[in-house]
Amino acid sequence: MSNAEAKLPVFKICTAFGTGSGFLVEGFPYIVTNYHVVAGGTQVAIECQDRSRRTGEVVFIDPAADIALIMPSQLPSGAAEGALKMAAGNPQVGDSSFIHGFPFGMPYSVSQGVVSAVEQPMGDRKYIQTDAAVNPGNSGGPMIDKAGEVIGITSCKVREAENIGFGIPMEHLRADLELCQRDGTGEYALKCPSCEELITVPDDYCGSCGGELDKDQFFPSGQLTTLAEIVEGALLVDGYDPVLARQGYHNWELVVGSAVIECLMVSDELFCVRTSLAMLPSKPLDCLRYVMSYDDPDYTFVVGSSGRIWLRSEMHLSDIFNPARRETMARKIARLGKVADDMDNYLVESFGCKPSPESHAAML
Amino acid sequence: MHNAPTYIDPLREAPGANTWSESTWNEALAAYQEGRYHDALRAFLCMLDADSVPDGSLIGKQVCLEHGSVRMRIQVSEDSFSLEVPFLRIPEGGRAIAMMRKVMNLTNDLAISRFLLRNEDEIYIVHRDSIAGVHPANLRGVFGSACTVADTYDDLFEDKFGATRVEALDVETWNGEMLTKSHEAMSSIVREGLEFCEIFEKKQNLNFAYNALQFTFQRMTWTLWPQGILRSKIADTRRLLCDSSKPGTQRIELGKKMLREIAATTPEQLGESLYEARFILSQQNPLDFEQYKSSIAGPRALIGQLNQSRDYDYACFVGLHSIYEDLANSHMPAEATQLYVDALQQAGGKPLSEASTVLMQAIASVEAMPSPSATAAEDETQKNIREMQAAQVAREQV
Repeated sequence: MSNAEAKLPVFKICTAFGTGSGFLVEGFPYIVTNYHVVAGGTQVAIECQDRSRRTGEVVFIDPAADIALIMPSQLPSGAAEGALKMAAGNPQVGDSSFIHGFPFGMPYSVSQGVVSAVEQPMGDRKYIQTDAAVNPGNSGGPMIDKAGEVIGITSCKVREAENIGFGIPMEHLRADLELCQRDGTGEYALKCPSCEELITVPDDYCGSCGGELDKDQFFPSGQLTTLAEIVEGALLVDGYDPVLARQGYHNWELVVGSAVIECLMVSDELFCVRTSLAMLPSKPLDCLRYVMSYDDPDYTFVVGSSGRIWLRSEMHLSDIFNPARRETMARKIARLGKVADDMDNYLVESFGCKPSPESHAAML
Repeated sequence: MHNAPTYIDPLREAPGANTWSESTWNEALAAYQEGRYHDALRAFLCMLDADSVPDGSLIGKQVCLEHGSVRMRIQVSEDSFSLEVPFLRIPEGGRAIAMMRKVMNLTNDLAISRFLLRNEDEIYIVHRDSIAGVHPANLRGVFGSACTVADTYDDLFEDKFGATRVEALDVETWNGEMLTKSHEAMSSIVREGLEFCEIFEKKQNLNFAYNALQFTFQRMTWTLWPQGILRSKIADTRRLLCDSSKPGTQRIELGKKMLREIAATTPEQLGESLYEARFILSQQNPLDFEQYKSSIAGPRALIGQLNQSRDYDYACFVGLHSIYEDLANSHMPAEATQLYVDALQQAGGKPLSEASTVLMQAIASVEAMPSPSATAAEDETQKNIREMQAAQVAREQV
């Protein structure tokens, strides 16, 4: 099986601020990713390629090298056995390189190219340069050679340029993994950007070298925006782990029965909770009459031009800043899962609708 | 073309252009912040159409507002309010399903409000909420989308699907003399627009040929403010012109075809889209004048360059396009509108070189105008929303 076909232990990393990629390396229990993927939080959701999710705790950050290590609450069976080997030496210019990950938060994909440079200087660091497609969301994923070994951590690209992506060389990752294994306590720890000291207690200065630290940035309080507090509060009430639902900044996705519920901003001032329920049947008159007569003040149906039937509620952001309105908003978020889970069955059974391609079963 | 097109005086003012009162908006915001929700709703409704809002408490009363061909009913109770807009009856027969699908798809444009089918075949736009849901920015979205969707699509769906209105609203149609005048104006605008388009096509400058079509629709809008089916067709064509999935040449042909179709209508047919009605919201977009002034530096500089290279037809066209686009789309300060109108009058019929200089000077004068001092206030909620948006943009840029 070629590298482009193999399903490797590569995961989507979802936080309250964005999404990225991560991977497991042989001999260590941590999922490797970029620091900038997890910056701002200490808890992440780890999504496997079968879309199952589990939480993870950030246990190590190295902002200078842009590396972070996550301890997953549990790993999918077989993941540890399939952990990636780290290449012993540096790649050569012209070697094949494969970028594995979740560009733009989309499902797992692989892009192929060659190593264009092995010590490309950027700022005060040197990177492996590749012409394989690197996009937002690939950050933190593995850059793999033809032998299936990791040669770098996909890190960034030049925005205006085409086919110029960068990977962090393995020497940095190797050093960080050993440091975390040796000195880490399993709690959140910062590798001092000036020295190699591990810092676990928030401080403005490194206790060892005296280097100045940006405490707020490196030791995030976990404070959420007002909107995120309302949404995650509503999910908690219903018994869901909000961390697992995170899909990026002001974006959540959760599975309730057969329905996949999305909570996201749809314009500058509108927040939306929605789910794709079913497809219109080929003789849709009765179904259309039903959805047009549906009179729930919280939700409305929408029929997309492709025939997808959505159930959704849009809310103006002014609601989140008025305590009197927060309860209404929370109710709309919390109730949709139950309503949708009942409704998709009803549409299928009563009108012969086909299940939505976005339903949980279809996405697995 | 040796001379600039002659200036045609607009036959009517921009519908609803004078309805927005910043002081009433600020009053609505202040009442909302103090938790006086009924007062906030009243102030907002007064801002839309004070004449239609009854004196005293609104509780238990119905307020009716008209916007173009639709009537909106607002019902207020102690703890809730509702908005209803009677829309269309589903036609009998084969087109019913197509229309119902289209309507359910349009829910996307309604955002917070929704369509509701009642009495077997009557479609309404409805919005029901607790009285605390009357933040003016929220209401602006609800009322704006409901009346725009209803007013835009009622004529179009009557024409396309054979639907009928749930409630027909009387509108005052124009008299014969006005219709003849409008028809003449329309014919000139189309002829001159197509002429510009052909000049640029011959020069193989498809971008300018495309712009000539957009310019013609903008000029037509600002001169006549057509409503009904013509307005919908113009909006539809302009949307198609922007569809980048189609080749440029195909889009240009499509625009030309629509212009020829419009030119072929009789004054009577045109009259169906020219009528007087009340409009609670402007059909122009609000304008940040400071930002606007910086945006017109580009066309002004381009006219200068084109004049220097003696490309006077291009230069004149850039001036006309820039001015008509802004007059049609944006709610300009009165002084700026006057400056532009004076320039269009002065440039009309003049040799292209002279006309382009006049237009360039007018744009430069608007650029130099001070910004109006009275501005709409921003309450705590809007400030929070703006800050949240800014944070989101900042994150996306990382």
